[in-house]
Amino acid sequence: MSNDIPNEDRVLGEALARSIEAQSPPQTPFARSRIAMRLERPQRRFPFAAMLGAAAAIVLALALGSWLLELRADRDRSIATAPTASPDAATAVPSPVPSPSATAPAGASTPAPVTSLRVFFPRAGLPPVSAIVMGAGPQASAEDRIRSRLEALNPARTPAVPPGAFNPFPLSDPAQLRVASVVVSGDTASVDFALFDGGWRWSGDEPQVRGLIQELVYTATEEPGIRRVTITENGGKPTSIGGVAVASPLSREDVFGYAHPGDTRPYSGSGAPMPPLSVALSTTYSVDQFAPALARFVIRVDGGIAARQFPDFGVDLAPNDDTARPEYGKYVLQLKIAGARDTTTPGTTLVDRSPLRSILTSEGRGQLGTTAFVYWLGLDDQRPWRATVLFDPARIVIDIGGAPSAVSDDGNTVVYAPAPGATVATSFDIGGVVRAFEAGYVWRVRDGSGATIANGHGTANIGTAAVWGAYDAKVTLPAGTIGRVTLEVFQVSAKDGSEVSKVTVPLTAR
Amino acid sequence: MSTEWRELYDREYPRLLRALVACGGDLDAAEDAAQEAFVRAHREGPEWSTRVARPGAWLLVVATRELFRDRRTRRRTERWPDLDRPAPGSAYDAAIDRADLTTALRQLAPRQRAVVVARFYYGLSYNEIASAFAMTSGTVGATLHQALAKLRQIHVAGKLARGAMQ
Repeated sequence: MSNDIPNEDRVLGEALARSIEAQSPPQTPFARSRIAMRLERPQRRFPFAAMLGAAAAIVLALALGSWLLELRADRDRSIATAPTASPDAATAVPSPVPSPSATAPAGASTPAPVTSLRVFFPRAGLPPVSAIVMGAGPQASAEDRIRSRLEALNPARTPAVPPGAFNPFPLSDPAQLRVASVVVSGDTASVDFALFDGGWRWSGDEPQVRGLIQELVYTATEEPGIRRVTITENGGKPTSIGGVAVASPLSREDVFGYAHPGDTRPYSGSGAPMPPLSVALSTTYSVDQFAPALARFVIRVDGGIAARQFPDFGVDLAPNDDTARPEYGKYVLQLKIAGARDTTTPGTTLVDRSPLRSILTSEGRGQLGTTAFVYWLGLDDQRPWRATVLFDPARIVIDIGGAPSAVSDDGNTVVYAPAPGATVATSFDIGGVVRAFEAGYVWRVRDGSGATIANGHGTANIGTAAVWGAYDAKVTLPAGTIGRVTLEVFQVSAKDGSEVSKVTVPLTAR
Repeated sequence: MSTEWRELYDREYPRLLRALVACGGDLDAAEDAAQEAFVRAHREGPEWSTRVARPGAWLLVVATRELFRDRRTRRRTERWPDLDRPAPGSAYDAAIDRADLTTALRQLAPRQRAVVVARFYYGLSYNEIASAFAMTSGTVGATLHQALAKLRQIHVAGKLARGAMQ
């Protein structure tokens, strides 16, 4: 490599090569690489036999669906000679094992390719959860991928629909409704449905209507780069689902059920100043464990720290560029902890449990060139988050989400236990976090008539601070309390004594 | 098939990641770009390894393109700082000197960085670089010349500044 380069340049270039070689970035082993996941994906997620069965079932269902559409179109145009359909065909759904007697219509001899698609299903009173279903694909364009995901919703049943979720899609007649077109413009997808015989105007109750809108919006916006969806019918006409207008662009944050999205102002926790690398960090995470729809990320801090101290840390929620990093979802919550080292190997952990997609652990740089540790929590959406500090041992706790009805409109009072709708005994524990003046909070229990039957107050572990304080208390109801009661947790305004930041939790006493 | 990919990964990934970290200074973006390059190679189909004369060079070209594309996107959409990682396990002065060189590298234009790394770290010829980066051989020479002149200027200036502070 050498006659064409002056000697001094070559010496510099070779020194540069040595400096590159001297770097030791943490390396992802092959077993955890994307290419290994790509090589293993079919075996890991779907046993081959089951995949074949599902593929055959979907091909059959798609064939039946398109045949029924043609049948309906023919009938609508009053053109005779339509084939006779089995009475059961209209409600045919994919089954793990295709019927031996089922045969594909003529012209469908080449099986349509199928692929795994990420879609979302609603949960009563909670934000939707993601799931993987089989559908048409792989598709080359964003428009086709969005169409595939939406068309995979209608036939989805248990076990494709995860426990605790439901599929409110109008199921009675798949031919009533199909995706006519998808147009992507910037970060918005416009989806036009071809509706027959009333389509969306089916009589779902309120949870079903809300669930269906969530299902459509979350699923359509799963496409990287897409953050909003406009839903229209029959050639771009405005439409409504169960009386709710959906023609204006809707984002996940418009439909997820929380009063406000998570704060995107960078938060900087002022903990104790730490000399570089003085504390060791270790992390754990959970989803749905401490409260419904709650993702919790806990960073334990060990060494070089006095009682009731914690290191400086920053939290920053920002949109993720999911065209570049789809595994981190739509938003990333970044945590940065100064003067710390993590005992785990840096890298990405794929969690894939709504709302937590993945966790990146990486060494970073703090202010003035000091070392910091950085975590990225990849999220489905911009739901409210809270930072809490616990002691003995010192822990920084990041909570994301929770039941929307258990988060006050301003986000300053959150009840984790008991969960909305829970059945409680005469004596039960309450717990959650508050961001309150001098850490004060009040609780009250009312009976079915609205009369107060128990009340109390307490202080959280931290107050008058940017971080939330954790609280817990024991509630004892009068003996013999049975039936519906409501728990209220709120704060008293320091300004005028009014009840603010209130959460109301419906319960059943037994 | 899986064994071939594992061998390729074990052979090429460490070098590719080091090159990308040197080019970008951002560990996460480098990791992303390196992983993506292997996935793209796999997408090329089973004949990829026989069709491509130097798989390592192919991965470098695809990954650097991805790295610089990703960094442009990040500047538009994110406000997070790069995750610089110091070179560990070496004497302080030597590490600083080496770090200076890689820091200087990152002050070059993206195309200059890629060409310098391809030439000196991957040992590609002018013709191979020209073919991989869709340039003429003359442009490769001119790019290298300008890049090294600037690299020397930045590196020397850094050393002088550090000496003045001691």
